[in-house]
Amino acid sequence: MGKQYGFFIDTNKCTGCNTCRIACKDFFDLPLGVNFRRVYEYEGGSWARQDDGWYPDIFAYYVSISCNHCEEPACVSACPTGAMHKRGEDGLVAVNQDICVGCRYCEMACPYGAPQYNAEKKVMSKCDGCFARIPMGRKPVCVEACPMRAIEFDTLENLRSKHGDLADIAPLPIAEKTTPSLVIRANRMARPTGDTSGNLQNPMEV
Amino acid sequence: MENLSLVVFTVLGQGAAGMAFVLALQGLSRKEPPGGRLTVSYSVMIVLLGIAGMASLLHLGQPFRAINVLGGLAHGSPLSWEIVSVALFGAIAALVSMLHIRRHPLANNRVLQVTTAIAGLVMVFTMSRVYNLHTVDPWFSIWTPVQFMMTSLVLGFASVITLDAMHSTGMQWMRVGVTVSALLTFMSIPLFVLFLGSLPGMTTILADNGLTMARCALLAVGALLLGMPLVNRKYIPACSIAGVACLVASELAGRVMFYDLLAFRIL
Repeated sequence: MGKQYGFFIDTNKCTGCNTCRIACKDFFDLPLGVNFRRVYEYEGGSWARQDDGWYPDIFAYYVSISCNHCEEPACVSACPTGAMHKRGEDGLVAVNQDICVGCRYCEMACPYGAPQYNAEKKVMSKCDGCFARIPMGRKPVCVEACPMRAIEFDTLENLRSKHGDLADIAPLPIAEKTTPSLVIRANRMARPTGDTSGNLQNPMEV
Repeated sequence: MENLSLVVFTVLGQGAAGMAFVLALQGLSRKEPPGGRLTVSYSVMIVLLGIAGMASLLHLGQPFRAINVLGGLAHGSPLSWEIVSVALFGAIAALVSMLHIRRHPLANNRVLQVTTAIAGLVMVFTMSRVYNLHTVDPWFSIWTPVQFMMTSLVLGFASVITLDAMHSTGMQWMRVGVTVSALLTFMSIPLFVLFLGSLPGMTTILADNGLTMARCALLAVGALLLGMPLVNRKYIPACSIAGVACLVASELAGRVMFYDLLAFRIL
């Protein structure tokens, strides 16, 4: 197996502007309802007692997530046709739309919502890490579009040596499920995965 | 409701498997009704399976590429194996139905009846494996195969009782079967809801579920209508038909709720 590429997202920098999502939609001409990259707005809070009174203890942050090109992709093992596959040369997970039957089983299996049903083509579609741009030395469209430079794309080895190996915070699922090729810099207010004190604020958007 | 076709596929397919199981038991107990009634039962079974198969094709975005699903056998995709088992059960069930329609001597062959039942149960098992995904917490439990098996038993007993209407006197054991299956299903519902409550973020589904209440009510009424002759020794065909209709509606409601659990994943 060749290199394993992945994404890094700095949730301290992400402002939830959605430029990454729109740049991807524009580049791939995606229809309404199909979002290869989604920006999750997680908010919550309570009250905290301090010396002389009660003060708000609230949190709000954004997590921009596309496909995490997992090391054990649930979508690939679920796919009944072999259309969903993990590329040997770069570890990126892609779907062969010429074989896909549009059963949407990968959509059920993926805990990150990466496979998206394209109602116009009637097959599944997903982020493929813009693998066609790698040989040209380019980064994925979302990475180049981000105005905050909050997203990086590199080999997982490089990302982990630069930023650590945190791969899950709320509202993402526990990393052990599929071992995502993802590194996260946690927002200073970030809650751990599995947290139930907050809520997703933009379910219709994602 | 994008999974409505899968609701119909799984419920009717499991109902057909349940019928095969009950008919095999009936054959082994040598309490079979006259040949004509058996032909009707096996014919209805294959029609149910045919409708279920059509519904599963309707779910696909590209149904004309359906043969591609054999490609997943190599890496053990549960969905590929499910489709193979549906095809296998369908082939055997079609063969048995045809033998009955043509009044062939092999139609009442016990080995064939039992093989049909086993093929049906294997199909139900492979169906439950499809949904036992470790990445979908509400589905990843023993309750998925339990619910699928209970659907088979409830609908299997109910359908054969109703179709054997003219032979109503010899069906006490089937009426006990449908009553016990419905009771077990009824008891499993709050236990399943308790399991869901233990999962993070699932409390909203517990607070607002008219569908589950409707399911329980339909289950109780259906079991009552089909089990009533055990007590009052009176057989009323309309009650039998109403009973099976209630049980089918109950299972459909339960399956809709099952698929709706996907919506409660955060991402």
